[in-house]
Amino acid sequence: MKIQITIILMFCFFSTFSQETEQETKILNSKPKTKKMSSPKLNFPGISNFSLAIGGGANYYIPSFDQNWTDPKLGVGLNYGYGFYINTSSRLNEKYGITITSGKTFSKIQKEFVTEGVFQYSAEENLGVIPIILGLRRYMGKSFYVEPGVTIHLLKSKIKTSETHPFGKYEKADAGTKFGLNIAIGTDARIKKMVVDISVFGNITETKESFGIRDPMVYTGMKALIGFGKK
Amino acid sequence: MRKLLFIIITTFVTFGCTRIVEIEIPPYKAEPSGSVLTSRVVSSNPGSYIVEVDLHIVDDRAQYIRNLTSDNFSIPSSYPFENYTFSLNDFKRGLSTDYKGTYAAMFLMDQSGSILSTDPYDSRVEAANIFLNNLGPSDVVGLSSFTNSYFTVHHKIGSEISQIRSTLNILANSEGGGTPLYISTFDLTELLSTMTTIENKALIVFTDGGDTNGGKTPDQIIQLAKEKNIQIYTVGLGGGLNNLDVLSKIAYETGGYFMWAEDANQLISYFGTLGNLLQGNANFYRIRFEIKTPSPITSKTNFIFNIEVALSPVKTIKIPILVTLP
Repeated sequence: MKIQITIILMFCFFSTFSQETEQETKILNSKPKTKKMSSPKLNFPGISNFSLAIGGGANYYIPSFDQNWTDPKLGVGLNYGYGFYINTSSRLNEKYGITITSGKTFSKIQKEFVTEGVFQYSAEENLGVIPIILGLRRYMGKSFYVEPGVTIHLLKSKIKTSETHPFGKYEKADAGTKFGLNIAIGTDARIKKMVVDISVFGNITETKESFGIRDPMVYTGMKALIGFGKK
Repeated sequence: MRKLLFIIITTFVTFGCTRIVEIEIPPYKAEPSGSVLTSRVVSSNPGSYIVEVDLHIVDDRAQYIRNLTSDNFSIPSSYPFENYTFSLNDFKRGLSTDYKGTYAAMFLMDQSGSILSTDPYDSRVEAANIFLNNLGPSDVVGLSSFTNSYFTVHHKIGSEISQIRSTLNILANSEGGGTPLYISTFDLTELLSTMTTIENKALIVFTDGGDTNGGKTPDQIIQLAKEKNIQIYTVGLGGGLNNLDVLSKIAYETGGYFMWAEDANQLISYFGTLGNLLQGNANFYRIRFEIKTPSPITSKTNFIFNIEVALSPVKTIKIPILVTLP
């Protein structure tokens, strides 16, 4: 429900922005005819100032928020995830831009169960997270930005156990989805056609059950992307 | 550009490694177990009943097994219900029990002679010790046992844990006599209500057999426990147990939970998670299934059937469920 409200609010925000753009365009058009107009800086949203960037990033799952995700004795045992991101963004005017970011991060946890230092059995869990983030970028200055957004996480996990495991040797796959809220702070510097986008971000998911855990997944991270853009 | 590549590569190298965690497990042999938090009929039509069951399932380390799916649960049609059909129609996981907070728990251990064969290696004593290891700072416990014709309170609620441990070791070598289950449970319920002011009070009744002495009925126990606001957790041990229905009923109706250990090693995992159940916020599965009977049930009927939980292709546990059809 909260996610739905957020999406609606963001939609309203975009709508408001579009109206502002139209008004600004009208003002530009109302300038004296004698003065030659330069090509408008604000075209139809999303057509100009487009960029596409790809790069790497890392997530850190914050233990104090939920032990079921981060404590290997109680739950999954996530700490870091790493992977790649791809981002498309469109700077709509000096202050605002919209972005869609996706990618995939991987975490691998190997649990080795020992008794008085002697290995007994092991279990390995791989978690893949595909986030799809729709963000609204608010620029402060030329390239520094704050970007709130909504996220859909597609989660996949695979557990493998060793032969000596009490449950025997087996593999089990699981999947789930989680909506979330994302906030990023970063900079997207443009050098000619090249775009360098570096940001840090935080994300909190809803409490819908995934992998038998209903608590929110809370993580922070950073990503560094490089690509090209069109002004 | 080079700097950026350096940052990206460093990120991958630094964080790309597998997290390897070493987890210490105790030397004793434990088995996964499951307990029934509740079982209720949520709707009924002639010949068709929807039953909802809440289950808490833990592995050999007494950790809640979180990633089971509906495919892991099955209800075989077996004697005397060959003509009944059972079909799962809803499944939820990762639910949590209500938080109850600090607890006062009194153990009532079965020291009857039959324990020598159902628990030859004294897993119940090991299990109780594990339970004591997991006590919270404000939780308090007591210890009592029954044998021959009545029960003995060895330690009142709030006793020193070290003393309780010593007595547990003595109990490991002092089995014998009958099973005065009902009278002991009844009278200890009355006594427990006066021992502590902690609201979250529980009596943990462990037995491997049916009552041999009489004196009170299960309904009287339930009524008293409700009056005194005491939850009775019942733990049954052994394949020959013929009072699963009574133990289940006492637990369900007093707000406690029921656990059956086919193997004494399951006691270790159950007692390892018992603190979570007593305190609340324990995770559980909610399974809804439909029972179709060959003909409509005309009078209130209790029956026990097994839910089989396949934890892996080679490991399955059975959880007996009491269902009362209206």
